[in-house]
Amino acid sequence: MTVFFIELRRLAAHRLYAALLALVLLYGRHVMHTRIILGIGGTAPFSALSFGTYLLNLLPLLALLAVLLAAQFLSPSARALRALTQAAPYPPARLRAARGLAAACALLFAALASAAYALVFYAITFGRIFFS
Amino acid sequence: MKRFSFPWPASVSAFVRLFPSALARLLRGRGARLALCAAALSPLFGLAVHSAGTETDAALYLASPAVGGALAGGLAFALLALRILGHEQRSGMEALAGSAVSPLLMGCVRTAALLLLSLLGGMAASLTLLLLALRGLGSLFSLREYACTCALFLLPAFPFAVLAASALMQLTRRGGLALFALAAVTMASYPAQETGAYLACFLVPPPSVFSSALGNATVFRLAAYSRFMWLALLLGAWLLSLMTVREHGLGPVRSLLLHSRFPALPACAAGLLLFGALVLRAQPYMDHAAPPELDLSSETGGSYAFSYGEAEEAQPVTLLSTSSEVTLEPSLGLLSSRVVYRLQNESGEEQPLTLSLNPGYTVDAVTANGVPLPFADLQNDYYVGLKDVRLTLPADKTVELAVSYHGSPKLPGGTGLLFIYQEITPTYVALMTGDTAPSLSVQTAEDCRFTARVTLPESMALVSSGETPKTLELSGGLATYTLSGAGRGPLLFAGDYMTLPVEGVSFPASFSFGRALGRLLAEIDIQSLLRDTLSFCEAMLGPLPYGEQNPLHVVMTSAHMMGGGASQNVSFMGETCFTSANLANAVKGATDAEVIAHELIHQWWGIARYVLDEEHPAFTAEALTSYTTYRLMRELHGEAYAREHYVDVWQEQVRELDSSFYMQNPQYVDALPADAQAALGATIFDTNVYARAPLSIYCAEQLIGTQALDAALRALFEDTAQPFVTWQGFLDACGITQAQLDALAGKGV
Amino acid sequence: MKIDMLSLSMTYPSGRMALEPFSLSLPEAGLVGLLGPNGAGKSTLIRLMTAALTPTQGKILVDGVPPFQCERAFKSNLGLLPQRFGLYDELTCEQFLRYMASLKGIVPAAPAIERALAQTNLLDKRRARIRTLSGGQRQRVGIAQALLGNPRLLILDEPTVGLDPEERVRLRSLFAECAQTRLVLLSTHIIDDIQAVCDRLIVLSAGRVLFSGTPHALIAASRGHVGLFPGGPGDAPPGVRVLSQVSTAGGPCCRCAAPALPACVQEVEPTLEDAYLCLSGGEVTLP
Repeated sequence: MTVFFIELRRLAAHRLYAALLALVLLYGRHVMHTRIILGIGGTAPFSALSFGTYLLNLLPLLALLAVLLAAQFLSPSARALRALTQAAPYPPARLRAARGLAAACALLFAALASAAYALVFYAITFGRIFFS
Repeated sequence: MKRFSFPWPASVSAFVRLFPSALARLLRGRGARLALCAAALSPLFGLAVHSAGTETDAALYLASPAVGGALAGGLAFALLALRILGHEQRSGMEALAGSAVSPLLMGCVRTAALLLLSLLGGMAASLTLLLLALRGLGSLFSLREYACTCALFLLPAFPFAVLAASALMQLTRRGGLALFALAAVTMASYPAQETGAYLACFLVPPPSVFSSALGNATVFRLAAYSRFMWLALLLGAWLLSLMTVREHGLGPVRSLLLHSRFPALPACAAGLLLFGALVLRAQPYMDHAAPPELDLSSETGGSYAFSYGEAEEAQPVTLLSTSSEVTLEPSLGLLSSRVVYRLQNESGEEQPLTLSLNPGYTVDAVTANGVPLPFADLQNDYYVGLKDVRLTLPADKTVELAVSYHGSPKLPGGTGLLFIYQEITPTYVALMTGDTAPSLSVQTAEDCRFTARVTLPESMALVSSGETPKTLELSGGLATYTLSGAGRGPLLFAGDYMTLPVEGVSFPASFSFGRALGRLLAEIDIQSLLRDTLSFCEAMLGPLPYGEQNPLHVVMTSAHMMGGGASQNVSFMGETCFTSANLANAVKGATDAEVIAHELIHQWWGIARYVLDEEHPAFTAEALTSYTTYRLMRELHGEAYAREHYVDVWQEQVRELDSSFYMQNPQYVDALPADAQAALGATIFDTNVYARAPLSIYCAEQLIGTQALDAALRALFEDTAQPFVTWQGFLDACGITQAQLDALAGKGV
Repeated sequence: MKIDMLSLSMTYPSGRMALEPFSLSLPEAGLVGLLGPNGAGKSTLIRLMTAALTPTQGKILVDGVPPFQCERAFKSNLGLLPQRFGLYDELTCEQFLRYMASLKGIVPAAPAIERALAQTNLLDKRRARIRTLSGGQRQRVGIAQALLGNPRLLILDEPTVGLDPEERVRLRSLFAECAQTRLVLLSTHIIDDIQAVCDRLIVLSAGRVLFSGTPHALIAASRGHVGLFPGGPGDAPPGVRVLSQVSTAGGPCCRCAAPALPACVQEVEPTLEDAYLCLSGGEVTLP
């Protein structure tokens, strides 16, 4: 678990990840304001269909983020560390799995953050009317 | 080795010394060869995905490969730039190279090598585009159009991508982050192309639909401006990023401050960025209209109206005639005109008037009976493509108000779409009445007539509203025509037109089209479609009041003009309606053949008879025209076909709108930002005017029968005693009530 | 951990024979120095010993078992500092050592980390990010991760590179202390390190094991082959090879080596460096 948490921490605490996350959220805002706000298929902008379409629109960027996160494990520092990790008894497959899981968690967080943005936008824009 | 430092002569000689080896190293790498191959093949990608549409052959074989090639090739070179620039860091060469040469100089050298390579890639792509265009366009190929497309759409994308990627890489030093930022910016700006934000995308400007027959100079002008602006911005951004190249272990901000000691660098960077910003601010092609406000309130329930600036007519002032002198400079896209309005002021008092004209025109002078008159240009650009100039008419009973203005018509920015209605180019001119004689907020006399002198290049054939133009003068390659007719001013089109008569109707009619498409149009027998439409409507509603002196003109306009329109004795529709693929396709019959028929039918409803009802604003000429078009298609293609492509479509549109979220919950509309409200309003407008209203007429037909409806429509058309056809007038003519229609609609008919 | 190398040889797929067949046994405890010029085969030998390579001929046994058959158990008792390695720069020293402790399966990790930090004098840098450390400090982090968990086999390839003299002396003492209870293999170019602490020495050259024994034995074998003559290298008598130039009270002189010293050359007591140079230069040949 320590290996997983440290790999996750390496990814999530990195300035690159923070910058990528910010970009994903900015793009999400753009999608929300240009495509989703009028609702999809005649439904409300906060309907399941509209929300799903919003997430779908973010998929290409999230896919690119996934590729970049995975590429971190092929970075020069990761490759240089191989000289030490290969001498350790930790099974290489397990190490790869831990790194993959860390990347998946970082990606999931980005997706959840995008979803959270949408929910906050809905609440701010439509919440007062919805609950009145 | 002496370390590089400014002043310029040493740096230039160092650059010249290092550049060849940097370029050679670049070319030796596999990445560069891959990028060049990708660039050469990139136009094929654009052709495959139809990145600029397929409405015309030029769109398919010239614009699509160029736009798609720009995107794909630009991406390839952006990736190459990121890879090459990141390689210095990854390989650890930075420390070694930095001990011999200034990182600033190396940044310049590497980017210069990449730029040169990108230009080579662009040239390879241009060659591929040439082959595609020659093969696809055949006789429609124009070297000038190809060269402009290459120079403005395809070629710049490659170095622009390199500049953007280099700037991001130099700033962030993270290939992943730079790539991500580049992808996000490109993805965010690409949909802007659909909204006509022609300056939004740095990689390739939105192309609009390319014309195969009437040239694309307007589109090229927009693209050139966009490229010019982005060149300044990207160069400025790159210079700024160059100053953040890390040196002496400093971070980006401190490195920037360090490199600011060479004043030329920050001065150039700031200057370029400022210049680019000014170019953006001063963009001359699109007006600054805000999106129209949405007004959901309606007395008839369910329909709505845009609310936009409209000056009230000064009731006691009447326009008797106009006389204008219009000079065009097609090479510059400029118009200068002097219009004299003969007005009658019955009030005996000064009257405030509003002159509404395209925001691209500047009023130079206004005189009333020869006396200069002060005026105020409100610069209040509004929907669609108008602005107001306020002036005060003197109290004289008869006033000759002379207005001089000049400029270039701007595209309407508030619509959010790239509509190009007016064009002034060396190969094509399209001017609406508002360009040749801007509207005044006065009543127009029924017998108001215009006269106009228009000067054009002799090579351009002129088609205009009103009476047949008379050639006044031919000299110096220019032709001056005299135009006259009923109304405020002429509508005119000019270009490489060929005109053929339309036979089989009782009034003279002609069809003018781009000469280059002559053979294609002959193959699809366009004249038969025109004849069928005109003769059907004449039989159903009655003849049009045209004669030898003012025949009906059917004009093909450039593909840039979406859809079509009608004004006086001219019906016009865009080039995209006339392609063989569109017209020969029966399944698509409800699109482009319908557009042709629709615009022709406007001659009856909209020109010969005005349709206007303030109490029922959705009932317009569009309603009657759309219904009549349905009847024509029923006649030509059968009941089932017409029902599927018209009635079912209307019903579906109305159902979709009525069941949509904002219609069901209007209280949420206020929460929307202005541009979203405008977009919603446009949807409501389209549905009410083009679907709900003709559907109501269809319901009336179901109630009283086809024959009775035809009789009612004919009566409405012939009843010239009524100034307008109104909804109540329609109901009365049919002998039905609204309640009866509503009951039928409730049954789902 | 006893290591036996039986007719061990390594030829790379390119055809280059990196190690000629040799047999050697290493004791369970002690500090063994591995000496040789660049390209001698030291790194190849280390990779064979750490199961990163499979020998093309012969075998290597760790406690009587090939390392591949008991890889996990073997690596659990291995501490390796390669010549070239990377670290996670964004982590602190403590975080990185915790990471390596997890990879090595060391439980509990905290005392092992504490001990490694203390041994490498990094206690005051435990919370510093690795990217902020100097080259020598990064090297000490590498040594610390090798020391984690008190491995029975410690292989250090050029461990003192980049360290200041004080640090080198301190670490040499540490290595010597470790060698009392485990096998420490020290591959280095620095003769002083070998001379100071190694009780056994293996000399490699061009893939061949030239010597395996104590430093004293190598020095003894070189006696009578190392001498001193006045002047510069140009003044060298025929048949001798200049080893180094030195300054003496009587002026500049040169230390030289020869299979048989000429009469004009004054014989001197060889140092370990002299002995190594004689061996690698061929002035001394050993069975």
